[in-house]
Amino acid sequence: MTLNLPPWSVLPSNPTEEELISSARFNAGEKNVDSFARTWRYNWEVEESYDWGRDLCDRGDSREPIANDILDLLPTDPFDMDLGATFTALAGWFEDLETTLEDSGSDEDWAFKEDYQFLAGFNFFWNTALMFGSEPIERLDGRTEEKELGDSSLDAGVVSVWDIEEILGFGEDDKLAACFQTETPKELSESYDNGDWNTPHDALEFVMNYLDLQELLSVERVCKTTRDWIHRDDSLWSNILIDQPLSERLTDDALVRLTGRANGNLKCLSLVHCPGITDDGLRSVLQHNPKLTKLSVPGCTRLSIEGLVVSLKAFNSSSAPGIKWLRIGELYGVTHQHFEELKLLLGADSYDEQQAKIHRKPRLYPLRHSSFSVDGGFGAIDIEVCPRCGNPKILYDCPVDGCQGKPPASQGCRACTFCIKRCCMCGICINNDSEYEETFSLEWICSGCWKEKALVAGPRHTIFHQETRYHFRLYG
Amino acid sequence: MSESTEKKMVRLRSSDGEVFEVEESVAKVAKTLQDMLEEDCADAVIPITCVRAPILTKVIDYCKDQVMISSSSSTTNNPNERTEQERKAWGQKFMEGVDSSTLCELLVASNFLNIEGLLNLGVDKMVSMIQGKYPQEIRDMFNVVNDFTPEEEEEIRNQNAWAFERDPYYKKRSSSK
Repeated sequence: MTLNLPPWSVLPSNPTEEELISSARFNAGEKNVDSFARTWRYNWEVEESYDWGRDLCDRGDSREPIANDILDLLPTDPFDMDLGATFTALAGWFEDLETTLEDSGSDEDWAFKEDYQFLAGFNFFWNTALMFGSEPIERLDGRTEEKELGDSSLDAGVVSVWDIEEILGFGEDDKLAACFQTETPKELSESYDNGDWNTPHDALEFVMNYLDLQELLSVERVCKTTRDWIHRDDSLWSNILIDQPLSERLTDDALVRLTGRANGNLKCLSLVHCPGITDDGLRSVLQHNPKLTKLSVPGCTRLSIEGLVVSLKAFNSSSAPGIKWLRIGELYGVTHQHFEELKLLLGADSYDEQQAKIHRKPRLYPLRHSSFSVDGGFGAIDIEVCPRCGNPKILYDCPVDGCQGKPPASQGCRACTFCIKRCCMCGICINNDSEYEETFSLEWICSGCWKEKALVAGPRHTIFHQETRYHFRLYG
Repeated sequence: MSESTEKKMVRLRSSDGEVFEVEESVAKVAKTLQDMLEEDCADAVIPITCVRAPILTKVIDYCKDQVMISSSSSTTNNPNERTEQERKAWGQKFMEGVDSSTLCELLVASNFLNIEGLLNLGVDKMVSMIQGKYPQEIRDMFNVVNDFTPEEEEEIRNQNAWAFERDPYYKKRSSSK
C-alpha cells in the first residue's frame, strides 16, 4: 500500500531513515509538533495525531488543532483496526492537503510541505512495518529525553503496526518498558495476556533487598515504579552501611536525609571511613532515629570521642533500648575514662565481656569490610585494654597460628598496632628480625606481600577502601 | 526416557504450549509443584502459565542437577555433596551467558515455582549486573522506560547528588547549564 507522492514532494518514494528523522527533527521546532510528539511518545494515542493532521487539511488556513471533534473525525473503529480503511482515510487527507496547498500558494506553503512530509513519513513507517510485521522487533526500549524526536517516532511507527490494538489498549500504563528486545510480537502478546508484561520490574523487586546503598540510589532513579518501591519500603533503610566509594563524599546533610528515609525505623548504622561526618551530624541522626541500637563509626576522622560520649549519653537516656553495640575502630584519644563511660552506657557488664572473650573470632589487621558491618562481631564495643601498653585500643590477632597460641594469652601476639607492628597487607607481625619495607605513609609491609604485589601487573580495583589506599601508597 | 514403574513422569506445559516430560523427583524440586503433586491436585499436564519454554528448559536443567546431587549421595538430600567452591563454580557456569531478559524471566519463574536455590543464583547474578551501573545503564540493560518528567528527574538527582558526583550524565547536565 503506497501513497502517490505529489510532484513537488522532496521526499523520495522510498525515503531513508536519516531523511525521515531529519524531517521530523525539523518539525520538532514547532510548538504544535512538539506537543504532538510528546503525546505520541508517552501515551501512544494515535488518534490525536490523526486529528491534528486532519484539522490542518480540513481547515486549510488555520494551524490550530481542534481537540473536541476527535470522535467525528476518527475512523469508526480505530483500534480494532481495519488498517486498510485507515490508510485509505490517510490517503484521502493527503489529497485534501495537496489541493489546499495548490489553492493557497501563500507563505504557509512551506509549513504545509513540512507537515506533509511528516505524515508521509508515518505512512512509510506503517507500510514498512506492515511488510515486515512478522520479524522480531529491533528495538522497543526506553528513551531518554535527550533522544531525537525522529527516533521515537520511528519506534512508534514500527510498534504501532504489528499490534497496534494491544499497544494502544496498554498505553495508559506506561509499562511498555517491559518488552524484550528479542521477543517476537507473538511472544510479546502472549506474555501480555498472561499478565507478565512487567517482568523486569518484578525481577528488580526481588533484588532490592540485596543491593548496596549506591546501587539502591541508582535503581531509585531508573523509573517511577522503582522509585516508589524504594521510598515505600522502610525496611530497605533500617540497616544502612556506607562504605567506599560513597563514604568519602558523604556529608552531614546527606546522612540526615538518608537516615530520614527510614521514617524513624533505623536500627543499624555503619559509617565506614566517612571523613565528612561531624559530631553535630551524628547527634542529629541520633535525635531523629530513636530505634537505633547498633552504631559503627570506624575511621570517621572528624568525630571526637568526647562528642561521641556526649551524644550517646543523651541518646541512651532518652530512648529505649538505646545503643547496645558500638564500633569505633581506631578513634583517636580514647582514655580509660571514656572507655569506662562507654561500657557503662552500652550496658556491657562482666558477663558480657566473658562471653565476648569466649566467642571472640580472631581480629586480623587490617580490618575488613565485614568487621564493620553490624553483624560483624561479638561484644558491645570493639576496643579493649591492650595487655602490653594498657591503653584502650583496638587489638589485633596474628594470622600465624603458632603466634596466636602462645601462652599466656596476655603475652601472646595480640596487642594494639602501637605495640606490635603489623604488615598492612596480610597482618602478620613484624619484628626487628623479619624483612619488611616501610611505605610512603609510614606503614609496614612484609617482604612476602611486597614481592607478591610487585608481581601484579597493575592495580586491581577493589571495593575495599583500605586496599585501594594501599595500592595508592605502593605505587605512589 | 522410558516410563518405568518406579519413575513416575510428570508433564509440564509452558505458557507457549510446549509440553515437557520430566521425572516426578525433578518436578518436586520446585516447591510449588511438589505441593501440587503431594496433594494430588495435579492434572495430567500441569500448566505453568507464566513461564515460556526456553525458560522452563533452563529451570528443568537446574532441577535435574539438584536431583542428581541428592541422589548421588548416600543419604538423601545431602546438599554438602559438593563443596562450597564447587557449588559456586557450578552456579556461575549455570548462569553464564544468561542475558538480562532471560534472567528476569528466570527470576520470575523461580519465584513462581518456589525454587529457592535458583532464585538465589538469579538474584546474585542480577546484583552483580547492577553493581556499579548508572541509572541509564540499568534502564538500557533491562529495557526499562524512563518515565520521569525532566523536573522529577532533576529533583531526584539533586536529592542524592552527593552519591553521583562521578556520574558522567550528571556532570554533563550540570556543566551544560
